[in-house]
Amino acid sequence: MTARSFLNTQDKFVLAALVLIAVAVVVFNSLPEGHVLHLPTYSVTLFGKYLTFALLALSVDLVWGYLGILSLGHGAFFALGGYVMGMHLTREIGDRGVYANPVLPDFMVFLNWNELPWFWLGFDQFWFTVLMVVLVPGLAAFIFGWFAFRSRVTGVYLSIITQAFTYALMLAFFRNEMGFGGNNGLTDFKDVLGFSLRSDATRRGLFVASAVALFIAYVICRRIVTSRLGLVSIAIRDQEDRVRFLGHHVDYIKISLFAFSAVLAGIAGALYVPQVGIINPGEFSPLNSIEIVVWVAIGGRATLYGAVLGAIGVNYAKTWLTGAAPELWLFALGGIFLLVTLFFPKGVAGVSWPSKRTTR
Amino acid sequence: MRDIRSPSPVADLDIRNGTVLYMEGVSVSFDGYKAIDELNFYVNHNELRCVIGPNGAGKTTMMDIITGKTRPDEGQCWFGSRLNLLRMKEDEIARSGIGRKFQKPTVFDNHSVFENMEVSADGVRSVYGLFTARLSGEVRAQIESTLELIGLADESRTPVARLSHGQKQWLELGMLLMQNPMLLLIDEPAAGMTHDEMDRTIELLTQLKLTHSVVVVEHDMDFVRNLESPITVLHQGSVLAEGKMQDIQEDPKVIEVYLGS
Amino acid sequence: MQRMFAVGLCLIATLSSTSICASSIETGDEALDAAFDLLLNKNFNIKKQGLEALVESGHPKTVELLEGVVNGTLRYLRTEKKLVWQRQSSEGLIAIDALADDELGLFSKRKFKRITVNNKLRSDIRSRLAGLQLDNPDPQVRLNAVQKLMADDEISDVQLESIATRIDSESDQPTKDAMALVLSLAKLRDPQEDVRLAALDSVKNSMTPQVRQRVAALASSDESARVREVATSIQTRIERRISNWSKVETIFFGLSLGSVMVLAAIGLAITFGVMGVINMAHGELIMLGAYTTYLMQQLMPGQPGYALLLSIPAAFVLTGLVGIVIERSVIRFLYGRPLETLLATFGISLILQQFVRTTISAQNVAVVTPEFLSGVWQLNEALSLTLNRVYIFGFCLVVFAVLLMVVRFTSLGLHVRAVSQNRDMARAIGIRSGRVDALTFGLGAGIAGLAGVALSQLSNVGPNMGQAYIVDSFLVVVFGGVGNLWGTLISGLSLGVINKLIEPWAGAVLAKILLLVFIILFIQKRPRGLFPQKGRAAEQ
Repeated sequence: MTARSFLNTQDKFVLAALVLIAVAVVVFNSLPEGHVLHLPTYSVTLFGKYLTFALLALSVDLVWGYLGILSLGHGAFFALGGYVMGMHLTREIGDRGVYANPVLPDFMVFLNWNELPWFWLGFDQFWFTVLMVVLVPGLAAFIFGWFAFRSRVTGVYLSIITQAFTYALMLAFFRNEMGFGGNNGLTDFKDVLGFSLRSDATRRGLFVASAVALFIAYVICRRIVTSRLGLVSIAIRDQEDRVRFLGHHVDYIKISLFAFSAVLAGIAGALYVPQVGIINPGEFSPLNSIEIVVWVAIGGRATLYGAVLGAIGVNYAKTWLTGAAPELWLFALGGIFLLVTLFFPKGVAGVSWPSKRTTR
Repeated sequence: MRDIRSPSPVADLDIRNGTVLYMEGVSVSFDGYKAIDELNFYVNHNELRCVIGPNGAGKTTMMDIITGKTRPDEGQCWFGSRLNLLRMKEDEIARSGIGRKFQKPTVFDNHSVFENMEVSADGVRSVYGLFTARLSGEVRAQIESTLELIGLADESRTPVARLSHGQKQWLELGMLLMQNPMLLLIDEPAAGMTHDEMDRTIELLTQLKLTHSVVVVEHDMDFVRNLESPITVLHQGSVLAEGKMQDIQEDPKVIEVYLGS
Repeated sequence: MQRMFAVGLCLIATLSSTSICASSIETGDEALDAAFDLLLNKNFNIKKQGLEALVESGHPKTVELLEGVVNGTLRYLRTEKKLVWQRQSSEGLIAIDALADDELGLFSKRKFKRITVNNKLRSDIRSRLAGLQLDNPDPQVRLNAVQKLMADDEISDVQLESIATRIDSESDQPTKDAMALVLSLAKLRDPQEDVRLAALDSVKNSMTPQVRQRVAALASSDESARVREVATSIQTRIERRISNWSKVETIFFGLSLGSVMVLAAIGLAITFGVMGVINMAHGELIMLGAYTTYLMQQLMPGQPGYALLLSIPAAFVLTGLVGIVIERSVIRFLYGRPLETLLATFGISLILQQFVRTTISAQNVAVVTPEFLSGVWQLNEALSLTLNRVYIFGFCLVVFAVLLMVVRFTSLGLHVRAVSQNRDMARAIGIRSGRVDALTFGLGAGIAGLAGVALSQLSNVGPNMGQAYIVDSFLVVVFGGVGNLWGTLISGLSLGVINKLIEPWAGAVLAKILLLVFIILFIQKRPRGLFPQKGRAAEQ
């Protein structure tokens, strides 16, 4: 008998808490304004944002914690998913833009473009957008992985080229000629699927969608890491070459999981954009990607619940601290980096449940 | 001693003329140092072959070449008469039926003993297959009987990091058995083992010979003598002598190499 | 009549150096005052005497004043008896003392009096002016004068004459060449065909814009077919030479960019390449170096040059010490865990950034470029190199050479190499590996500081400046082959050149992206870089 169970105590706790919080947030927000327990809508949006970050952290933990790929460019997949959704929302603006052009987004009118570039076609359809949210980050990761993993780029080298990857995308998206709004990115969205983005109900809907996505992704990830695939991928993390001599398709496993993880990141980005109302090239900045790694490191890598808690915890601290003492935030973030790597290499999860390491 | 499974059938493997492994004219050098020099080496079907030689004779490098870890500068290396090992990657070679136990036991420290065996189990190799693979009764039974065989049945759930060196050696042998390859390359199995354990290893290897081909690299001469198998002596990257223990011991070239001139 | 008499008296008085009658201009220099008294006379013959007197006066501002007279920009204030320039400001016209260069305040427009001259006098002044400058003992002044004439489309015969009479006695070769060119340019307009042809032949090696313009004009619209033909062939010849020189220029820009990349990366080549430490705070060490320069300049106001020179050792020591502190307090606990090192040093980089932001400013600070670094090095008409880039290129090579010496020939270098190859063995033979680690890291950090000093002369100095270099630096080191200093040099320089070669047709941003993609693909093909380390050490 093996000690692997599909969901262990911490997983059940996190999932239950997720459901509870989601229900509570929706209920309290639906209470009439002025009620003691009324939860303002901006908090709903804030929680929704945290949940998309948790999903993003989950995707990084899957490849870093369980496969040993420290991606310093996962923010790129998040941003790609976000841009795909942003393109759809931009198309939905229709003729309500500043220039009232029924087809062209404002920035294209501003740049004197006459027709929609081919890569903007289809994004007026929601089903197509959903497909692209999965395909674009997934394919980008697949192509990247195909080159990187098959030529056995590993460890720090891989981390550095993932960073260069997102850096290159950032520079590219800053260009107006790319056709994604350049510096300003895409913003001024009006509604999604016909529901106004300003209404409380839509905000709740997006929050619930984020919670559901996180829940499902968590369960799937948990399935992966407890399957034999998970065993093999941890083996790859620890002794990549040895796994090859067992006859496993190490490269395919890495490519597949990396692409799957990118898809999760892309979905997170697609849910993030309608809630914050903007996507711009800054999301590609290497600093963003490295922050995600910190969430996971703080929560505890190779524990999925650690990634989720880390993402929510750090972002909560960030919201609070940037409000209270903005100049302290970077000191705090830098300090957390040092503290965690020097004193808690297994993250908070490693501190709380030190005896549960056998089934890592 | 339990029965050992016969090796899983390998597609494309052609051993009709009885030779499992051909190495011909193989040379490899690192920074001008010739680790393997015009080596010719053959292994027959159902043969247990011992390879001995002083340090730096090229024993481990030879195994590296067979398993695809090192590419030779020149020469041929075939598995059966149809599979060109020099054109295959490490994992392809492993899937085609060549398994290896490393000199320094390399097992997965963060897994339990059982999980190490499960990772090695032959059969499922596709990504999706691994995701959906259930521990069927058959595989579980195999793992349990192999654990029995290598004496780790009681340690099934122990994290590997806590095993002793000797236990890790056994575990790696067990993983090799779970892989169930046609040709087994075993690098220094006796290192760190007690006499009792050595005897059990010898018993296991002798039994494996009935269904598999086995190449054993070993330093311990007692161990080699007790295997009672043909011996190849490597020296400076090529074969110095080949034959029975008796002949080898009387070969003047071997005496010179081992006893010094 | 009376007035003329009075002036005569004054002139006599001036010549005898006893000023008994008040001049209409009082500058403090009697010769100048007298000259302007004459110039303000209505009679043009007397004005001409004034001109002579002004030229004779030998006052250092003579040329400026003459130009002012000829252009009509020099005025005088009758009541204040001052020579002034007038400047428009929001409140009105401001008078600026033409001799003392200080503001005299607001004056109504009517107060500014002209010094009238006629065309004859104007051409006289031009000729005297040219002569005055062409006879200046400083060859640079002479060259400037000639170049000014060259740019002048309406050069007069008098001016040409003044050049023609001096060209043979001119001792400075560049000035002489420029003079010849001015004369040839004039001859290109000569009505006679063979004169134009001869002139064309004499300018065929020149790349001066005026020559190119004139030749192009001749090639397209000269009345003589022969001249058009010759002009066309000379035009292609000149354009070809210019395009060749512009290639040289591109290569130089490439090398300059490359030297910046090498400077930024070379510290990393030590910490990452030799020690294997992933130091994400490397960019911030560069930033600290740049801020050291800024602070030195603040400490030594008015001496930007010395401050810059002093900040070279200061930055090395300061960032080196910061590096040693980082190594001793953080990195030494993380050897053998590269990914953790990466995260921890990233944390350090955030702290350093915020530290600078809090203690100095969140805005960029201004670092002064000292005089000896500003300006250009004019190789010929088509190629001029900015001096600061030339110096930084040289600085990069010097730093590289010194570093190479340190690694090759000092005991520190020997110990560094020993520790990086086999830590345990090095320790076993008595090398204090901890001390070596600290010093090596300090060395790498110190060099990052030196890079910062150099970069402060090229780019903005701000808390975020380090981030721009970190990705590039890693790529340069990895591209060149980890652990190989020469590899870093060659990879940095060649990446710089490649970047500048792509730039003309791809644009700066796209060139950068293409370069990144190229390096990513290259690393995937050859993960160990251009010049991989060989042997067992590379197996790690």
